Amino acid sequence: MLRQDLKRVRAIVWKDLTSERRSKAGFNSVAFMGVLTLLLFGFALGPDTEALRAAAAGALWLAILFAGVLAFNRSYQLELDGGALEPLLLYPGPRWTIFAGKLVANLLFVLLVEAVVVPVAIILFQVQSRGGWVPLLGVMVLGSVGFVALGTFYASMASRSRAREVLLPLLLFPMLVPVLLSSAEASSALLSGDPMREAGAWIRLLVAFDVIFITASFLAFEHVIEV
Amino acid sequence: MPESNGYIIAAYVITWVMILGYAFRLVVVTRQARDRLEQASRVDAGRES
Amino acid sequence: MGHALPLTADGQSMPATGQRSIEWLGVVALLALVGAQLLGILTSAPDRDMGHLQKIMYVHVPAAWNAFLAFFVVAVASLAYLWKGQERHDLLAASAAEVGALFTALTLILGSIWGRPTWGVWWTWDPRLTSTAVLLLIFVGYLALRSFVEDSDRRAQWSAAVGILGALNVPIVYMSVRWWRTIHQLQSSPSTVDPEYVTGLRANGIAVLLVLTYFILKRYRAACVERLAEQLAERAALEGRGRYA
Repeated sequence: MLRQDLKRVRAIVWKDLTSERRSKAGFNSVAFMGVLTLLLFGFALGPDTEALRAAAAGALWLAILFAGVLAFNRSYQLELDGGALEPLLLYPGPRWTIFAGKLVANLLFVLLVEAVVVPVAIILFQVQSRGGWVPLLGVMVLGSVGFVALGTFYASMASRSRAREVLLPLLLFPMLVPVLLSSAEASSALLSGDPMREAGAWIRLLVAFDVIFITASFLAFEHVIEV
Repeated sequence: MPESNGYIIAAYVITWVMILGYAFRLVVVTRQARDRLEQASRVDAGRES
Repeated sequence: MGHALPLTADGQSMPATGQRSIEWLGVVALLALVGAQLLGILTSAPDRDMGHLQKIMYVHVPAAWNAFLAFFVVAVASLAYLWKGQERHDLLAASAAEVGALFTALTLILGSIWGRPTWGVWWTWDPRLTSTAVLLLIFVGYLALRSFVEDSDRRAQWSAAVGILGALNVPIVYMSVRWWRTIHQLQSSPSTVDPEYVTGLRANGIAVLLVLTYFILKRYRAACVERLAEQLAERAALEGRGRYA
């Protein structure tokens, strides 16, 4: 049974990603939005190197957040436009597979966007990582997982209501505070070489938050997708 | 501390403004709801269309 | 539709007694609030550090307590709705959310007013104030969601999910911010309850609780009436009466 469920998940991931790929405009505009946000942050913060480096982690995460919300509503857009959501629900199989499929597809998409946005941030904010790049990449992935889980969940509702562009951030952003806080703090600590050994504590918190919010999203999705 | 009295007064004034303001909004909402119900009852009973 | 109507389907009779006792509660609550505030203001001596500013605590702290209590009601009512599917739980949650948003906003404003002369700033990133701000955003998001969803079943299910997740988030935010401040070695905000002020705080706490209960009950009642009107209109439309026949 589980293997069948996993096949279903994979099918949904593939479907979402290929329809995304067919519209390259989707990826390009989202990635560009991230870069643009970073640029604006740079202008707003001013050219002083110290200020930029201090703000780098925060600015990077905010840029990812703003870019990401564009992607989440779109991941349901394709079904809504084609009227494909009802058939998807009628097909026998547990609902969590739909959520899992969309979550994975969104995660891959967001990580791809980050592959563009992170280097740009490093350049614009004159980042020097004294803590090594690998732990930093780990934090990016962990933070993205929490972000995408909540985003995929709230988008399942926002995309089907009026004023979806404003409703998704309104619902999602307050929920992202713990993940954002721990990701930004862990990133910041790693970038500055982690003098107080703080990053480890933040990373553990981040993992805990991911587990909590992923579980909660999965459980809640059952209730919101049916109706 | 005469200066801090301003803050204290502001605090209490704002509190009462918000509480009385919402109490008033509740009066309006209750009345609106009752009007809607009467309207809907009439439509439902077929006396109005 | 498979769920109980909030009131009798006979739209003609509306229990008048219920309404009158709610209004009496309102009168009592407002009088109690006046009394408790006077008690607090007139009987407490100025604080060592804060002076007369301490008196702001008599409105700020009870507002905070009751805001979180309202939130608790939202969470429990949402759980009850998901469990039993009875519409009145959804309406209760929505009413508590609206009143809760009011008290949360009030808490933040009063906290800001207190903070300015005390610390010289209009805002501090301390755990309580910050999680209260997040709470307000969650309430606002909840109410916005409800206003953008037309179908009552969908609105109820989605609100319940959003409400419960929001409830989960608030203590997590509180802990994160506390940890955040500890890491950056910022001192925690001073405790504001000197034993001398406890009586005044409790009196005001109870008075505000009465006001909260009155507001929620009255809002809930109006919500039930509205929902009944909606159902009658739907039924009429389905059976071919009314302007959409």
